[in-house]
Amino acid sequence: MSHGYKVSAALVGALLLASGGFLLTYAPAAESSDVFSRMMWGLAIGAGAFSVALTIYALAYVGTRKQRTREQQRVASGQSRGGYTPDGLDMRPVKPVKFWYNMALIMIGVLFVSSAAGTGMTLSALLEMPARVWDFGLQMVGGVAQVPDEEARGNWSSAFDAMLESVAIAWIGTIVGALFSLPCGILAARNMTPLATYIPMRFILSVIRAVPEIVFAVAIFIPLLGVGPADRGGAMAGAFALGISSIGTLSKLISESIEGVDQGPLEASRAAGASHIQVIRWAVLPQVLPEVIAIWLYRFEVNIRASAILGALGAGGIGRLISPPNGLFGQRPYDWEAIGITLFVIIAITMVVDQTSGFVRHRVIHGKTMRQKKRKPGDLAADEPEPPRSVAV
Amino acid sequence: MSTAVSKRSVAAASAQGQSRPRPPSPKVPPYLGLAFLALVAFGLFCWTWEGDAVLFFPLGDVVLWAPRDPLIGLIIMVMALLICFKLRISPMGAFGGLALIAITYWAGSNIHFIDRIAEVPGRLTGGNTRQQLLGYFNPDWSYLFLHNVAGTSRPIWGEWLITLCMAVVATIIGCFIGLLLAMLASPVSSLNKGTSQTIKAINSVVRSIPDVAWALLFAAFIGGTAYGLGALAAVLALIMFNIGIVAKLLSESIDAIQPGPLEAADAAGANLIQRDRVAVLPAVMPSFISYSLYVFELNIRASAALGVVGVAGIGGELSRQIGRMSQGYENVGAILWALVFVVLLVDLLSLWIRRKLL
Amino acid sequence: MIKFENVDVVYPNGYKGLSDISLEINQGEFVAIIGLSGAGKSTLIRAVNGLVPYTNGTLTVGETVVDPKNKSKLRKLRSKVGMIFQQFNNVGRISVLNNVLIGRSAFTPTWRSLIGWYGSQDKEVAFQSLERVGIVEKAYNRAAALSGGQQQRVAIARVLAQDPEVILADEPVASLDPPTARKVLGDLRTIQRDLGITCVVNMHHLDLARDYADRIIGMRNGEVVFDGPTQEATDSVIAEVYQRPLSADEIRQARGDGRLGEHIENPTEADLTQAVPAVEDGIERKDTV
Repeated sequence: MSHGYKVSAALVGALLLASGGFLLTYAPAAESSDVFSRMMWGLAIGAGAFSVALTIYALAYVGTRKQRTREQQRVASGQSRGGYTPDGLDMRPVKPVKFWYNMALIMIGVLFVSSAAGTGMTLSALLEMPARVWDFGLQMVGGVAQVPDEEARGNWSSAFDAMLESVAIAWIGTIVGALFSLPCGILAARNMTPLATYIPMRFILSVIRAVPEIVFAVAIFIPLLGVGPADRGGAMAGAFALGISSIGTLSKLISESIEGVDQGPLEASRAAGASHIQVIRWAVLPQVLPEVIAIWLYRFEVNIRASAILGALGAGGIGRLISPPNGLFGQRPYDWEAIGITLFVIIAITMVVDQTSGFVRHRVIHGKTMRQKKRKPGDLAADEPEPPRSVAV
Repeated sequence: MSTAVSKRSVAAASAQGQSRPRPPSPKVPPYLGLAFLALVAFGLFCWTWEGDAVLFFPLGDVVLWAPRDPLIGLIIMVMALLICFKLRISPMGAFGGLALIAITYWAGSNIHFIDRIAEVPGRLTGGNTRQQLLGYFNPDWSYLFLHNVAGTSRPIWGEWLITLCMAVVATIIGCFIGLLLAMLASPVSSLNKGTSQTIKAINSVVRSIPDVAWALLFAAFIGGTAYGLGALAAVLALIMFNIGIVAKLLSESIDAIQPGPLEAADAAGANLIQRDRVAVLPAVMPSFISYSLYVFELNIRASAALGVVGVAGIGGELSRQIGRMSQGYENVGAILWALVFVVLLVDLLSLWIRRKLL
Repeated sequence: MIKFENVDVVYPNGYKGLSDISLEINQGEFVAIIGLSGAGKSTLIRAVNGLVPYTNGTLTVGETVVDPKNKSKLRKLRSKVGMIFQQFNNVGRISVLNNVLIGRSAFTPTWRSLIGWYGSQDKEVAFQSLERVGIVEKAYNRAAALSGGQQQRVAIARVLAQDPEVILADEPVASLDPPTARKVLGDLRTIQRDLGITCVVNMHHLDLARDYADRIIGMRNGEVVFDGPTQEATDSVIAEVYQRPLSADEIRQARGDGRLGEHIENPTEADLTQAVPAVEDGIERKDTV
């Protein structure tokens, strides 16, 4: 099928879809559900945009065809351009038709428009926002900057308590994840295990990764360990939910870094008659350990942020302090001073933890004597930059 | 053969009286310092054992350390130090081990680790935990497909669509802004050192506020958590969340790009914007696409979770169902199973796109 | 055309790149700069377009004084001064044409390059420069997919698209295998002669310098130790520049006897893998069409 046909078929389809969506917006069924009507609006707008974009694309395509013909004629007639006598080789290529690339771009645009329609956002609310942000922001800053009276002292200490509880949750979650992830990672590395363990292990890990933390928290650990503040078990539930879902990501990253190890030492120790365990202990672990520690620490940072959302579900930590119905944002009118103090504590502790863990990660990977190698500017082109060893996400 | 070799070498070594290098045994003073640290920690443990508050500058009282059974903690720490000393681990490594134990001890007792674990068997055998778990594993599918959100005419599956739509909108806007910020945040592509430092600082503040807090903040800023406004709050929150991630990861990728093409663009007289467009953007495009897909996956999870605090989408329904948990765990179970299913689908989709593109 | 008056370059880390250089390079000259690694060849070249700021003295290109502090003036200067690099420095992921259009940056409004919609004039110039280096049929290929010789041609086309008065080339052929190196350098020489462009080239290969340059400048420790027409650059003079006697092998090559088994001072990976002179890409192209 040539591009002309593809384009026109897509165009007709899009037009049909647009008009269908438009008609269905007014269909009786739409009255029963605003989601449906919004979706149809989105569909109509999206398909309309799609057809307009396709038309533009088709025009450009026709244009390129003309250009190609012109170019062929020019070369055939031996017309020179810029003092050369052209031969077949000097025929300028015509811009290639990147059909799928253009379609993908168009589709992203359409998806965006129809999704924006589909969420049913009322953007007019944005107009009043700046004034409110300014007003509330001032109150928050005022809350942080004031000399603490009795109430503010209470806010500060409850914020610190809750945030430290979040850190504790994240830490225990990371420890749980770390304990399980090293063996799982080794079992899921292709160069360490036979296919018979590799495939089930990978499958289990991808199932764990697919399950969001809140599912673990709500469905398993809150019933098992309790709900609410730390002394009623909510924090434990959060920690275990984070821990279990950490296993998935951590094991995957660890197995990838194990698959990337230098094969030389492995061969050498196998040649020396080392058993499988010995190979892992003396040839693999020393190579990957710094990276593994970095991955664990990175996950710790991620877990601190993730623990907030679990708190909103009743699993302890900072989320419990801020989320409705019982938290700071559940009270009317909002106590902006308290919110400001809490946010300040969240930001401060998260940043301190990030900096510390970033420092330790750097230290673990690069060692004590790591110094930025001064590049002599003159040799800039000559030495290639070291490929980044990404601590993946 | 091998015995012969080892015999001979032993004999040779003793005969020549050579002193073989022995692994350096760690110096005692640093270890004494570490032991002192352990004692200090023990002191803190003891002091705060029964919930006495440690005064934490004049802002408020904070219980920084409240571990249970401080003596056990001390014993573990000392044992670890002794083991480290025997294994000839450097003081720095031993310090790391000590810190690990102390923090874990603190964190564990802070969240009542042992007490909760001890309770689990009791919960499993009696009470409604059993019922609850059973309910989750027998989800009520008809609820998911046929019912409406209580008190409205919106079908439950429509909430799923809203969730997906929020994720798409937030991903596209957030990644785009993130790209711009990443360009400003990396010293390679930024105006000057000052701009890049400022943007980095702002970005780390943005990143340290969790997505729930963003959602609540925006809901308040917009002026209510009524539905419709809720979607806007959630989208704005997700956008901030995405900006944080994309700007950080992408600015690190920009730091690492090959300097050659940049130099070539400079030498051709390109200005900063042109240079970033022609030399930086194409080089980081693959990572940008891959981060965007990653962020999209995160958004699906997060937008489901964000509903918990009262914004639109399936999360809102989830929190409502959790609120009236006693009426039946089957509904919550259905939502959770569907969540796993949707996330799995999105993961597969993004895996497919990744394969196609990269 | 290019005038160095007592130019010093001191790097921020205190390393002295150039010390007290005084030179004058005339319009339309093809100058080769030779010397050991670290002799300051790259620094000299990069000082001309301000990629390395000079710290003392005066450096003039045409009528303008190079002013490393003034960014917009520097950009204006760089639009007239093209530069070719050892590693080609093409953007691998975009098409050859877009790479060449980078050379038009200084002449294109920012918004146009931002959305990638170049004017037809710019495109015409880009195509013509591609035609000049003979790889116009690759215009829409990805730059990274080309061979080394072709990539360097793209880089030359990029420079030509600037419509330069001066071309600076930093080891332009050091990453290429010997036959390709000759071919590329020959092309550069022809273009330079046709268009009357001043050309300053860093070289490792003595024989190439002797074959193509009008004038040879020898450098050692950031100073000019030899400056004269190619005929005057006798073996003894070169040995003086390198501070060691040339081996018989090198002398034979320098006289042009050893075309194929050329000695390569710093063999790069490309040299080692492409040691057998394969069908040169220019010829190959003719065959396939």
